[in-house]
Amino acid sequence: MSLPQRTADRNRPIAAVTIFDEDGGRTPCHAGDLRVRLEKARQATAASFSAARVDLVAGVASRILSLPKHLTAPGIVHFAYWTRRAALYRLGRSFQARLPDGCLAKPRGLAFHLPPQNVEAIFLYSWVIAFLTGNANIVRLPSELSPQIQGVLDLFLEALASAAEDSQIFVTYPVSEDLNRDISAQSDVRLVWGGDAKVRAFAPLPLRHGGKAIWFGDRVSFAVLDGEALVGLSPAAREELVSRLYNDIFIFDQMACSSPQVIHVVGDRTRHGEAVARLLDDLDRVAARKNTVPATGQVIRKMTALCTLAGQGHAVEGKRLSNALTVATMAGGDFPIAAIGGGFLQIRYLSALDALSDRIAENHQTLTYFGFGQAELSRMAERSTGQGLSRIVPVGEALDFSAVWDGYDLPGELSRLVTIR
Amino acid sequence: MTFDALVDQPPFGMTAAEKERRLLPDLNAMGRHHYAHCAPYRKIADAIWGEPQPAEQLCDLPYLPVSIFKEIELSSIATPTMVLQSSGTSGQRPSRIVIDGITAQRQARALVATFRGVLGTSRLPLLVIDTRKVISDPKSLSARGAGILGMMKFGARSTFALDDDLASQRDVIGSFVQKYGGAPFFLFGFTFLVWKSLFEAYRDGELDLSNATLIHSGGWKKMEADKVTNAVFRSRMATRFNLTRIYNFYGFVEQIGSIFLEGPDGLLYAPNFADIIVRDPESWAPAPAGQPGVIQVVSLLPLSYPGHSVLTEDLGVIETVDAGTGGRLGKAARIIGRVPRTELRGCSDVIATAYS
Repeated sequence: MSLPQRTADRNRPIAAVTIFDEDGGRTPCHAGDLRVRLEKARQATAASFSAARVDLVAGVASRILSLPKHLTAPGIVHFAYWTRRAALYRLGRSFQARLPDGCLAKPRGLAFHLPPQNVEAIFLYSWVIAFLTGNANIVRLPSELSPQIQGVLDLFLEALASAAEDSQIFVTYPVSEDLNRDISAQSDVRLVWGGDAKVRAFAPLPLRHGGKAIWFGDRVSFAVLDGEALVGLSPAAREELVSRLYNDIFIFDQMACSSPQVIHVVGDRTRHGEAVARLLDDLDRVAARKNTVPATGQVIRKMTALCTLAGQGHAVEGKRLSNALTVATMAGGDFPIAAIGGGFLQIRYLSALDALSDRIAENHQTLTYFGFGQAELSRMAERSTGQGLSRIVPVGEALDFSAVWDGYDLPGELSRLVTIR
Repeated sequence: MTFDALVDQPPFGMTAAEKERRLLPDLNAMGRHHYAHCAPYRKIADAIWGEPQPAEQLCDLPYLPVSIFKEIELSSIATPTMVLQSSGTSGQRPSRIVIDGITAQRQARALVATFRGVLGTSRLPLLVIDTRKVISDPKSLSARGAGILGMMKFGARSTFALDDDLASQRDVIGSFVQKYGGAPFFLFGFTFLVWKSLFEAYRDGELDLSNATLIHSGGWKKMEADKVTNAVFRSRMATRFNLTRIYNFYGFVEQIGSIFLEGPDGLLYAPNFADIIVRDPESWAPAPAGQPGVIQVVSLLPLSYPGHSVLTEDLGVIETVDAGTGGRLGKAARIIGRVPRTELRGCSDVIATAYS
């Protein structure tokens, strides 16, 4: 068994990237040529929410929406709605409205996007916001895209080509710290999606003139339901709630940062346990009907997680409703949330909504809720003094992307302000 | 005790139904034993399936997923005499299996019962196809090391064929075969090492192992990459070394001592005190013979830890039941491979270095 050959890093030719072209083509590009292209792109920024760029995005959105439903994944349809002309105008107006007085928003320059490898649709949002705010962009994509995402990318590439817009570059390249460093050094802003380890890998690589780094680290999310509200649900209302929970949990295999892992129930097990059990049974049935059943390896992983939580004394009751959904009812007390995914829910009972504020940790992202009013939720959020939690949205909207994400006002972060008096 | 009776009676002689009848009362008793003596096991039982109730069929026994032994230490004894560790594939925590004197003794007797049939009763010279390094720390053994130590009890003048880099030491092998090759001796090693470090180190006819019995085990995954099936393995060994007495076996550290030995039909048979259930991964109900599924193994061996009923992450199929090939009754199984470990990945890129 031989040792791997040591290579002399200094003499290694810098790896090339592959650029995504329109019509699904791909062109290799030498690092030197890429550097020239990026410099040129950086000179070709546009005005914030320029009519041309808004038109281009809205045009692609309407093309997506005109496709037969069965050809587009729900995530992509959502993206298309999110980028309808009216929605983009709203986005632009609300961004303008929150600028400080007498300030003009200008693009930062070149934005470097490192979207997650698996929740692919994220790159669309990351890029679209940077594009609309006028930036030049380079987006590093996985080498293999799902046909759905490739289809959307092709629509954009076609639209960009016919607008003679060459400041938007979509690339893929194998692991290369050299390229990461080179591209970072040319970029004014960098968005790293994909967790703490990836963030750490990029942290030491400087941006142009100390540009702006935007981090999306590991996050977990959870829900809170009012036990009393569950008891009184009409069948129709329960069906609606179940379908919303289903979307939050099962799209992206419960592995998106904003997919809920825990359902908190404000109430107690004796009073509300039955209503919770009925809700979960319905949820399991919907998941089974929609065939959201993970691979056998993940089903066994869920069994192991359930036994582990029980053996440690954290779970007092464990049920495999079916291969689709495993439920662990947790004892009181505090322990980190395990993101098992693939249909694994922890149920925790809380005496009051306010009790949630003591449980919020730094890595918590989205709280989805049912049965509470804005005032109670605001009070709870204000009580929490830690760094965690950046979204509180109704059940069913866990995965809906918003321009304010993980605590960042993204259009603002991707803009620089010019004061005019 | 049923175990004592079963371990002493000739192996593979019971029909599946007879074995079920003999094993069931003791397996039920073991469930109660571990419930009483292993607090985490009791908590698991209470949370998931409740206080132990006597199962009426083998397939009704509750089972633990094998990876639980990687997550928490499950012990039914106050002071362990030994802790076994699985080799732990890269990036995974190893299993920790707690053993006491009685369980170790049972394991030893179990191995004797299993291998007596192929090795006979006298201790034969043993050539281990591995390095001595894997047994250097007996307090914390890898599964590979534990397997070798177990087999060394059957051998005499144990000799290690490989150096620390797992390359074959031709001089050591040569002088071993010269000294003992004229009479029965045996070889033991992991399938992959036997293939890579012994088979590939010699040319056809260069080494005569015609008096040897080879016992080997280990996953076929690496072998599949080289397109080596069990049948290919056997025929190539015969051509190269004139070696024909070859026995593959299936076992895993979480149920060490419960060895499924290859029969004349190339299928694997459980020892008297253990049995196999194949479960349909859709319903988790027992799969009928011929239908592949996930392997569960029940065994009377583990008293010191609740490993008497374990769901593995291996896929297999029961090919025949009570077929009587070579006089063997009971279930005859074939291992298909591992349940694919499909990692679900979300926003978080799991292996950051791969993308950095």
